[in-house]
Amino acid sequence: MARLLGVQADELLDIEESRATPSMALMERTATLYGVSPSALLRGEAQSSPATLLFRSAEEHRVDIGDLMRGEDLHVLGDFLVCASEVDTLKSTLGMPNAEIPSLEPEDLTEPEWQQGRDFAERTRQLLGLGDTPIPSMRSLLADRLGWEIFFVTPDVLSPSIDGASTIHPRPAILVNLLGGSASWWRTRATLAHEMCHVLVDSRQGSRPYLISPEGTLKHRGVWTLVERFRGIERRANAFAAHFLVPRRSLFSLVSGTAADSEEAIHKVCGHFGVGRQLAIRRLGHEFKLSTEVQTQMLAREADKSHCSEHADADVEIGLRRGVLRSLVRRALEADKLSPLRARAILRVPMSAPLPDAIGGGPPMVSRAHVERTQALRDELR
Amino acid sequence: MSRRFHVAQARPNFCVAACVVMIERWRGIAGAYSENRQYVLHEDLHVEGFVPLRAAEHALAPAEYLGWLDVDNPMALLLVIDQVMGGAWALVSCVSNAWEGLFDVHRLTSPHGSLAGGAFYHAVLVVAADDRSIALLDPWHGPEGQPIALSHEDFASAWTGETILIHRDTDAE
Repeated sequence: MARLLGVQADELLDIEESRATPSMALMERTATLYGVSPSALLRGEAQSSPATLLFRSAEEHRVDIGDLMRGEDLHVLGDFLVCASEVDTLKSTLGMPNAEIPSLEPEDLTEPEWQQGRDFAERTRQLLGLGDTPIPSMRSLLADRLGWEIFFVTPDVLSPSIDGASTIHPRPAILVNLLGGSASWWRTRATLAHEMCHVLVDSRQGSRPYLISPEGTLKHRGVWTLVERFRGIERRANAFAAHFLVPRRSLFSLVSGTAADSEEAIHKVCGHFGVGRQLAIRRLGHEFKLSTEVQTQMLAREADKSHCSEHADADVEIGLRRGVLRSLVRRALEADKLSPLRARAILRVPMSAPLPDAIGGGPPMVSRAHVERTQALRDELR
Repeated sequence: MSRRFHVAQARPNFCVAACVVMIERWRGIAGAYSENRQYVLHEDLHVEGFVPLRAAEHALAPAEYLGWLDVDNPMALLLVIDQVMGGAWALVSCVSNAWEGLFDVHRLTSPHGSLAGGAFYHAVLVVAADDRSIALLDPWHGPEGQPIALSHEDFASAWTGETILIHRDTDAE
């Protein structure tokens, strides 16, 4: 824990045993690690946080979380939960409707994971009345139609090993790591569909209580994972994404009369369904029973891999506190349903800085001189 | 309601002692009504004539000394406000000059004269809060006009960040 918080173990022990007081920055960092606000941390609400489960499980199995994951990643994931919670509160304050989560009846989960993923995808399309048509915008489907929240970050803040994350509490929300930048919109669509499966199936069944599941090697005891069958759950979400974005019947009619292993077929699938080359080859390979060797050759082939740069799913605002959160703060301020102080806290605007014009602007709450004076007083009295 | 707990400080450097007495009154502790209690507390807690806010933590147990919260971080003030909205009180210190400036506007007076010429900081109690304002009991000024209502901005312009959270229930820990 000390390593994740960036402090010495002795320092943390002193704080835990009330011999020292944590700084505001450390309190904020600790709260974020648990996915709650500093106020909620003081109220003891971190006990029910998903991160608590992760730490407890790691402790029981004597696994050092710091060896498995970067502290920075855990903070970004925790901050994602904080932002999802802020959005939920703001939407409720503004009287906006709740998110919709289509209800999928329990399936026979003894089937292979890819089959489960395919069935879930088909039933989800049916429930949403999507038929077999391509999905023009995953963002629009999830955010505008279902009322889910979508946040975007880049690999400079979240490790490239984490494509995305999702939560169902307090409302459905998805975090996308823009590994290829926002221009790689086909990748964004695949991540959104993958996380959609987690929200629809795994989070609801309680089988995925945390956003991710690191793996650690236990001495003489095999592999530790927080969530059992995590790899299977991931395989199912991958299959869901592939089948949801590229439905079977539509794929067959699209490539009929074309060789399934041809560049023309790949190009058609990419363009028609808005998916990347790899996913297109996987779908063609699966439905037309192409061997692994053929699929590998298709992937390795020199080809035009460019996509159109303009797409509805390419238009994203990067940063947890931009996009939806910032626009809700602005709306709540304009409706006088949010105090300037709380707006600053949500968007992390310092008290001595003006409020950004993007949320309507406003003067600093305290002067820079006051901030410096209190720091000097604190140092003197120490 | 909280006005009945107000206590004016007996001497210019007794702000922390007077705040402790107010908290004891709030907690229903017998003997807290006596002015002598301020002298006893001051004698126990002072360092070279002044009582550091932190010294009050032990006299107020159970209490949480939060240290010097960063006044430039909006979550710091929000943390205090949220705790007070949840029923706690907060013993805080303010920069004396800035505090005095606020009360020129409110036209409040004190038997001790101007606060600005004394200690660099002054202790007050945050006893209620909402999303726009906070209410304080200030021992420097008399009971008239107490609790004093301030906007978040006005309070933030004087608060040093140093805070002790106090719960009414002494069995809380």
